[in-house]
Amino acid sequence: MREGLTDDALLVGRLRAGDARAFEELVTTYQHRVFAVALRMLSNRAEAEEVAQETFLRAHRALAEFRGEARLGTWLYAIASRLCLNRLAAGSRRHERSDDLALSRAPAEGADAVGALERDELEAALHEAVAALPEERRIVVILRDLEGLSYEEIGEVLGVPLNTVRTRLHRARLDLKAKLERWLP
Amino acid sequence: MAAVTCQAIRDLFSARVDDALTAQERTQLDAHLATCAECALEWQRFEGTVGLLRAAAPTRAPVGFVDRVLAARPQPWYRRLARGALVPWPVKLPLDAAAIVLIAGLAIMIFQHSPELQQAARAPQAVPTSTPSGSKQPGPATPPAAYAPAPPVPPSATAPVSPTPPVARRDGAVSDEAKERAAQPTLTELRREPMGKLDGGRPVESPRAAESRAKKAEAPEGGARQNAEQDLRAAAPPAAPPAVAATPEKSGEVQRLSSFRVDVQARLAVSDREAAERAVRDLVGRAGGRVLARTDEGSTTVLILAVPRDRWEDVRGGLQALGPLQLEGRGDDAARQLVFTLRLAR
Repeated sequence: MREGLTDDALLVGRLRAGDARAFEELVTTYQHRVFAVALRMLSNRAEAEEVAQETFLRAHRALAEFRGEARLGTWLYAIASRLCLNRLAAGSRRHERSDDLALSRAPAEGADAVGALERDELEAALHEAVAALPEERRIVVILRDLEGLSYEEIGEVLGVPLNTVRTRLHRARLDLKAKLERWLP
Repeated sequence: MAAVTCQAIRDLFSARVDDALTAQERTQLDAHLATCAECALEWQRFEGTVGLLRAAAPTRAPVGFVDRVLAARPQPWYRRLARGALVPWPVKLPLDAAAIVLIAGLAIMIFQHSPELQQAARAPQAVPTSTPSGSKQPGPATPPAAYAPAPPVPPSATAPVSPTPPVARRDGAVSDEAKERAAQPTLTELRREPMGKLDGGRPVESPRAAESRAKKAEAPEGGARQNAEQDLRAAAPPAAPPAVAATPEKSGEVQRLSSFRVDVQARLAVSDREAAERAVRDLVGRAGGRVLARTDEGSTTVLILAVPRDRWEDVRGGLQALGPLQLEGRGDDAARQLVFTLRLAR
């Protein structure tokens, strides 16, 4: 999370004051991060957008409950993570995986075409490896290695102790190492 | 420093990547990796895996995501209130006004095309007078303004008050309801035909015109007219057939006149029938009586008259003063009035 507490406090203050532009600013600032977590967790762009949108709408409704002790981003990650885990646990997903994330990129030409193809393959391999992780480990590695949250923040988002975060993260990385042997030096 | 196992060292890899080891743990890890090629290779792979993850291309939200979220955002309460209550007023008010105008227009149109409603609006207290038995119903109806303010008739007034009750009553075999039914045709008949003839022998009118004119003519008479109707009811036989109201034939007149129950038959020999008739009318009128019917039978003028019983002797004396008088019958002495037929002839 790169926003400081001061920026979060100012934004929260504007949101509570009914500043119409503040909510738009909130969505604009956090849309990619929230969407990325949802997409990595659900492996489906449509579902990810639904969850991301619901995350911001719930945040808008629960703005009065935000105490300001955590960062605004952490609070949004917590909402999004809970929505994703609930959706996965419910087993009533309309879209079973999965979108090929690499296909959304424009093809490169010439010498870059080979490198781009390799990168696309790597991205696909990474996506599949992450998607194959157990949900509890998946969310931890996403928050840590893809979104850059600290152990403490992950524990706060998921509501679990630090040791649990460490254990889940280490096992997730070991699983990924086993799946990504081909891409390792 | 105690020797550590390879597994214990590898358990520190994740914390080492995140730079979360204590100084002691980091020293142990570095020392073990320097002496254990297998763990060093594992460390390289582990560190490379995390490097791949962190080097992954960032994911971006789809285009238009912000707009969609803002569109789905619920509006503040004051904006919802303004949209629901305040903003639509410029639209609501004309619609409400148009609805009111439309309803009012429909109501006016229905009123204009409904004569019943117009009549009810003009004279809500009007009494239907077309039925002859209307006067016998003691309902809340009041007479229309065009009529004379006759006093209301109590229900008991419809009962026979003649000193000579109807035959049916004497026999005791006919109910009051049957008497009412029997009296009605006679009353209707006398409202129509005889009135026209008694008023100077005008041509026979249609029943409706005669009735209308009779209503106008009876207006100044007031209660007297009402008493006459009671007299007629008392004089009517219970089984009297409905007479032909507008039949000019004398045979019909005689038949109709003979349907009256009379107590006394009188014959008065006069030289001038018209003068005698005027004198009789005057005499009966002064005695408080009425001319119930009149007809001509050739050279004889036939009058059916009703007078109070206690004035009968005066009337009889007056008739005797007009000429030779022949009387048949006496009637019921206990009755309040006497109905008699008077034949005027030379």
